[in-house]
This record gives sequence, C-alpha cells and structure tokens, in this order.
Amino acid sequence: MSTEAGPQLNYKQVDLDLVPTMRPARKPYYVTLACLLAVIAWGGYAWSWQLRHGLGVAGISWPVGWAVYITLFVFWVGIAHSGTLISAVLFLFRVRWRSSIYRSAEAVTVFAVLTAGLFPLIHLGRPWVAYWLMPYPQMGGLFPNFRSPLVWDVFAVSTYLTVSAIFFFTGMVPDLAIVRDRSRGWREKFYGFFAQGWQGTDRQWRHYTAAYVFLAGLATPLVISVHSIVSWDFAMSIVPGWHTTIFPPYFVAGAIHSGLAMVMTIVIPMRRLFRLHPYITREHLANMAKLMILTGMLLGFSYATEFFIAWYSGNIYERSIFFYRAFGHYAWALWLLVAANVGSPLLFFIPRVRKSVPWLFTLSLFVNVGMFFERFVIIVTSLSRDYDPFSWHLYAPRWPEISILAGSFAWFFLLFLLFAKIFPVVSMWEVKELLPVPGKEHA
Amino acid sequence: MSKAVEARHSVIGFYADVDSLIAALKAARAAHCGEVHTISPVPLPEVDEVLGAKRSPVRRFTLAGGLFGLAVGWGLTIGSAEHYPLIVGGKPLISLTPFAVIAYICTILFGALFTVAGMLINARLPRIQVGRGYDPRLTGNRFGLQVICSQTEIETIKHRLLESGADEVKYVEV
Repeated sequence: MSTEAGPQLNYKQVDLDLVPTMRPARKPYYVTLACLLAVIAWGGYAWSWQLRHGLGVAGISWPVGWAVYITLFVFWVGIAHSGTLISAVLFLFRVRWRSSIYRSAEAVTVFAVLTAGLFPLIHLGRPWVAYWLMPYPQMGGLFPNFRSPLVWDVFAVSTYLTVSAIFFFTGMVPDLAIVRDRSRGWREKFYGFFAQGWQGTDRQWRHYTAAYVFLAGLATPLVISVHSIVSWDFAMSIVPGWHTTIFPPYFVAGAIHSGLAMVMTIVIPMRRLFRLHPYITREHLANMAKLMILTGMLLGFSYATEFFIAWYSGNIYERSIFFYRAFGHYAWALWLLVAANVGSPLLFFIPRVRKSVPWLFTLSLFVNVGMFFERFVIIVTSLSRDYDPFSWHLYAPRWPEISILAGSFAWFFLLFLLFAKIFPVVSMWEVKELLPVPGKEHA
Repeated sequence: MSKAVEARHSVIGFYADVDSLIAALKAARAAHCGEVHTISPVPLPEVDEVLGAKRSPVRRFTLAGGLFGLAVGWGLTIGSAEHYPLIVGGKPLISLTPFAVIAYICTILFGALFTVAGMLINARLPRIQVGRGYDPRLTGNRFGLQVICSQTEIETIKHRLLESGADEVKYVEV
C-alpha cells in the first residue's frame, strides 16, 4: 500500500481521512438524493400503471415476451459480478490493490442484485403471487420443477444476494468499530450496534480472518456459477441464438466486464467527492482498466465464436438469426455494443488513456451502455425472429419500460449514495494492514 | 477471602509498534502472567504464533455447513420430485444433473451461513458492549496487551508492561 497509496499514509491518517466521509452531508448530496427519489417515484408510478392496466401497456407482446425487464435483470445481475471478483477472487490471489476499492465493489454487488431482484417481480405482471416461485410446501398443488433453469435462477440469485451481503457486512465489522470509537451520541450507538462489540482481540481476529478466507472461497465459485445459471435461462431453451453451449463463459466474461465498468463509473466521482486520491490512485483505476482489456477481448472472442458457430453449424435458423442480428432491424444495437464492449476497452492498451481519469470514466460509461444493449440484442432479436415467420414481430419499449429502466438506475444509485454516506467506502483495516506499523513508518 | 481479593482486573499496556507488543507478549507468557490477550487495529499472525493458538475451528463449521447444504439440496429436489411425481419432457423423475445445480447452490449457501455462525460463536460475538477497560485508540494506531489478574498482581504487571516498552498502562476491574 505504501507504494500505491503514497508513503505519507499512516494508521492515524487513514482514520483522519476516511472517518469524515461519514459526516453529515451537504446540500448537493440531498439535492441529488431528491432527484433520484423523484426518478424512482416516476418509475414506481409507471409500474403502478402497468399493474392497473396489464403488461400490455409495456411493449411486451407475443412473441417478444421477455424484453427490457429481463434485459435489465440480466444486466444488473451482471453488474454485481465485479464486486465478488474484486473482493473475493482478488483476495484469494492476494492482490494488494483490491483493498482500497473492494468495499465499493461489494456495495455495487449487493445493490445491483437488489435491483436485479426487482425485475422478475415487475415482469411477473402479478407480483403479489411472486412467492409461488419458491418451492415451499403448500396445498395449492404448485409443481416445484427443479428441472427448470428458472427455478435454478431463483436459488442462484437469492444465494448470491445472501452470500454477497454476508461477505459485505462481515468485511465491514472492524471498520464499524473504528467509526464507533470515533463517534459520539447516537452515531456511537448506531455504529456500536453494527460493530457487534468488536474490539480487535487476538481471538476475534483469529476467527474473523479464518471466516473471511472461507467466505471468499465460497463466494468465488458464485462468480462463475450465478451468471452461468442466468445464461441457462436462455441456453436451455431451443430458441435460435440462445441454444448454445458458449453462453455460460460468455455471460460470465460479460458480467465481469460490465461490473468493472460500473465500479469505475461509481468510484471515479466518489474518489473526487470524498478526496480519496491517496487511497484510490490512478494505478488502481489503471489496473481495473487492464482487467477490462482482458474481459473485453474475451467478449470479442465470444461474439466472434457465436457468429462462427452459427455459420459452421449449418443450422439455417441459427444462420438466419445471426444474419438478422448483424443486418436486421436491430443491427445498430449490435454494432453499438461491439464498438462499446470490445472496441472501446482496446483504447486502454494506450497507457495515457488508462491513466487518464476522464478517459476511464467516459469509456466505462460506453461499456455500461454497450452491456445493456448486449443483453437487449440477445433477448429481443431471438424472440422477435423465432422459427415461424408468421409470428415475427418487432419490439420497441414504451414509456412504462423506459420509466422503470430509469427508476432502476436511480434506485441503484440511491442505495449507493446512502451507503457512501453511512458506511465506510474504503476498508480502513485492510488499508492499514498494507501500511508500515505505527512507530516504524521510516524503518 | 475478601471481595477485593476475588475481583479480577484488566491491565492494558499500550504500545506504539508491533515489535514492542510481541516482545511484551513473550515476556508476559514467560512470566506466567495468566490470561493474556492482545488488542490491535489489524490482524497480527505473529501473535497467534507466540500464544501457540490452535487453528480456528471455523473451517469445521464451513465443512459442516457445506455438507448440510448438500444434503438439503438433494433432499429438497428428490423429496419434491417424489412428493409430486410429474414427468416433464420425458426426463426421469429424479433427474440428478439438474438437481445437482440446486445441491451445489445450497452447499455454498449453508457453507457461508455456518461459517458466519462459526465465527460469531468462536469470537464470542455479538456483544452488547465492548469489554471494560477497552480503549478506542486500539482500533486506531495503538496496540494493546491485556493481562487479566487479581488486584494484588496489578502493580507487578503494570511495572512489567512499562518495562517491556508500554508507553501507558491502564487498569480496570472487570
């Protein structure tokens, strides 16, 4: 850490820099919160409109039964993946630069899964019977079909949320004790409650660090499995463009790609707002950019493989749908996503670009947009051009979907904004772990 | 035996660096000072070496949770299929391949839940309050060596801690 964070940092300075991020906010913070709440309220109104008038008010109709809502579900589950990658996988590999950014990445994971979880409910049309998705014993004769990937998805996503939330909160406990010890009044009580009486005794650290390693070990396979299972929602069907074995690795690479982009989109303004430059350095951001080069190239390879297999398989339906994707009504979306997801991260090969904060921020936004359209193209093109030309139908989102889309982004950013003001955005104890011990800074 | 003699006290020495803390800990162990703990803002693996602490049993909780989850996953899927025998798509009633997905997820879920339970039980958390004598500086930039002793031993321990490099010593009845 001394090299990444600067040699001037010490234990005391870490507390002095990071505890104040939780001090009462100023006016612009509340104005932003109010704006986000207004967008959420508008999204809520659109949803209520849809509930009152039926799913028909959205653009969803036969044969495009899965559209923007399921696109957003996949998009947000994908966003979640970088958090687990940065917090768990990089922890197991002892990657030192993760310490400053993993807390924000974990928050992105938890809040993205919370956002993703809304979409199956919104898409249901009758959300009040959402509990039918769970295989609980009941007298109504509901068939718990464990052969269906949709049931796997319920298990995978709810487990992902649970494990991510546990990992997120467990990692924060020593930091909450730091904040408790530097607060007075209700804040001391609030943080004291969540710190659970943490003192940092040798006994507590011994069991804590052991548990942390195992939680990281348990979260790591979830990086691979959750989006694989989400991809099986598509790949297990026989719809052209979906029924392919490349989907699990392709979805996982895409998920990490989009997640890294979202972490960058969030961390860059946060770094500036909270003056976290000594903690989240350009090197940290450049390292994430390097990871994005890898995931972007994996995605490029996956896109090319999809097209190659469609041609090489000789299957006329596969060939037809991929020709349609490249040159049909939604071709603009395909070329946009290729440019954004594969083309733009290649610019990170240029050191000047990956060390330039404005470039990093702009390109991360491009990738966010590209990853949304990737899921949109997969879902909508395949459904709108199924086997039977008689049922071919174009899809365009209507105002309820666009409003709910905007609402979901506002909901996600609202959760993050609240988190950033209430909880420590940088892991103080792990940053301290990387610094020279007090009294020996110059040793 | 009077009440004052029975009361136990916590004597905490404050250290500016880990080396002094470790040296003091070794000295306290060598002098058979009794119950000795360290309090630090970061985990210190060298403390466990000096204390000769056994590996955390949390790993057993993780294993137990994983195995329990595996059993729950298989039990839930096979039990549901037998309870509601409906053939779909010509597949066997008990289709092990898709059921393995649920079993795998449940393994991870219960593994994580048991891990946290194991940590809380072994670390004796959650606690309503921090222990008496705890000092907020110990989550900041100081390292503490805590010795639990009787009142008659306080002065000796205090002297030893100061001798071993503590820049401050506090004591309180626990």
